[in-house]
Amino acid sequence: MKSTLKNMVLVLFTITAVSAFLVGVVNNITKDTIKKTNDDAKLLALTEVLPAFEGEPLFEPDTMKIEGAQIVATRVSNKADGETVGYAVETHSLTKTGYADKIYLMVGFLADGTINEIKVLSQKETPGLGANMVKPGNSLEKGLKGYKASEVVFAVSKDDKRSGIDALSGATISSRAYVDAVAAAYAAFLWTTGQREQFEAVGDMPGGAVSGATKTTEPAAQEGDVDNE
Amino acid sequence: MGEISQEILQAFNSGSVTVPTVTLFAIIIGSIFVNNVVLSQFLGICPFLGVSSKVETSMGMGAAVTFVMALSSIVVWCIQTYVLEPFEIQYMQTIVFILVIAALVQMVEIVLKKVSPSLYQALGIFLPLITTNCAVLGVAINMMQKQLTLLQGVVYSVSMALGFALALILFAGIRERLEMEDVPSALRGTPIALISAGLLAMAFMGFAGLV
Amino acid sequence: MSKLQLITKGIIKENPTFVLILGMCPTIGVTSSAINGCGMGVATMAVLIMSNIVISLIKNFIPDKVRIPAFIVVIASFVTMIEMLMQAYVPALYESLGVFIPLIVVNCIILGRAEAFASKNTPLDSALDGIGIGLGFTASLTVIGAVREVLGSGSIFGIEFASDVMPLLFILAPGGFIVLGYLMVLFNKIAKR
Repeated sequence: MKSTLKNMVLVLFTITAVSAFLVGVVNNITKDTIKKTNDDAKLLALTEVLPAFEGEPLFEPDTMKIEGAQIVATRVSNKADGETVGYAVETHSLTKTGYADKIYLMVGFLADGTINEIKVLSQKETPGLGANMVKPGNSLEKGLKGYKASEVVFAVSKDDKRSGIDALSGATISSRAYVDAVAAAYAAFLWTTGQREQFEAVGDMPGGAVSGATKTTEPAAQEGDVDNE
Repeated sequence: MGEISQEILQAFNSGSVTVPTVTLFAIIIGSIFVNNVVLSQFLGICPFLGVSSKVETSMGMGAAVTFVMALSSIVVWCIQTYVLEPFEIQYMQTIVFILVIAALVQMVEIVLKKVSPSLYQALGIFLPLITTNCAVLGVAINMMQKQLTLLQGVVYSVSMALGFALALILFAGIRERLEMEDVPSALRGTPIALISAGLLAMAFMGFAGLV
Repeated sequence: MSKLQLITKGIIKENPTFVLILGMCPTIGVTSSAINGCGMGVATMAVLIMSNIVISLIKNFIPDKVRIPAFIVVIASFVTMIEMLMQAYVPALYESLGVFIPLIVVNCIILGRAEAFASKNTPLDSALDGIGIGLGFTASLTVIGAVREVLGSGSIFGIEFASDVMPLLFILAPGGFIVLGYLMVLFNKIAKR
């Protein structure tokens, strides 16, 4: 076809319009599936980080919004007797970032604050180095899992001699971000269960911000429904 | 009581995180050396292998890429922030970005031809190649993912481009030397180039942990 | 050229990775494991086949001067669709391929085939060409991924056998270049015989 201005503009415009329309259609088709896939993965992780029990679970999410980001602590209890099974906290590296990006974790706490299980939801670290955090039984997991969070010093042993958490070999930055995410999860656990001593201690520090009013609690969740909005 | 860092506790108290400010200096060093676009992020390998046989041409290519990346980072940042995000059509990102880059390259070509024929003479032949240089699109997408401010984004893109130019020029130097050497016939051409690139990448690994 | 030849030529004679030396970025960027290499190859093949067919269909309506932008829009739309489909149905692969999925747009193989083949041939031939080149690309990526996975992390297709003793270097950047270089030598030796 001849390259006149009219032709060129017309053809390019048509192609772009048709493409944009088709992409929009595919987006509408896949949008729900993408959301469902993500939610399913989260729900699965949520049940996996807490001990299995007989009976139906009841989920009560508590969303803590921190400047655009959010940490969701979900209280899981047995529907039959209302007994708390534990808290599953969907968290991410808050004050540090990994080598490539933020690290997203699901951390399960028992009612007494014992770290039951940690699952990596998403990470983009280097394969073979930082990405080893997804392997079961890695050094980070060993230093955290099964310990009472109240007795853990949240730092890698390289930075704080009192800590029993060894960084992944060759991946200190990734490890720091991982530990940071778990510490944030523990902070969320303390916050949602009303144990505020540590927060108040910091609040009195000079320069510390003491507003504490930004916590947003979701309206009582529907039974069995996990609302992560 | 378990020891949680003060930053986290404060984040919960105040509802905001004081993210350690990334200094521009850290961005520059990190992008040029530590996360070198070619040697550690695998972007722009085609021109890296294609245009790197002479030091002079690789300098021209490096300059052209730096120029286009600096411009595209500004345009792309504005489009993402003021068009795609308000209308919630982030999924159009790839299409929009590549169109912006292609249009920008064309425009740069036309403007250069008119304004500075000598610069056009030097960079002209490389400009069409840049549209399909995945480093430009890759860096643009990465920049948006990192959620940088406009200034940080431009500095990031320019540093990435400088890293590209650095790798290209270093590699051209190596290849000019290789021309003289007696390389086994099976390795001649691209294979030996790839293997030397591997050794260069190993050298760049030494920068890891610098920032 | 017979229809069968159109498919087979992409695997050995015009292998995009080892002979044409196109699309090097994903070739080195995503091949840290065999699965990733294979997934990237299939995604690229899907885009290549569809863009080849569409471009071959609309080639007569496109003014010559805006050929490249028109091709790029077509390719970018297919890439975006593939991206969304992968995010919905194979989220794990989507996560691990990362930025390299949108970068399929600038994979020189796709624009190269659009320019060199699809804009001159019938839709059927273009589709077959896409399948052939796509298969060649997938095969190369899977092989490179497998070699790097075995050497670097001591596993193959995710099955571990010697995970702690292998030199990590091979799944990092330098290993990618070096493995590709030596595989290219090997390929040339075998193909020339």
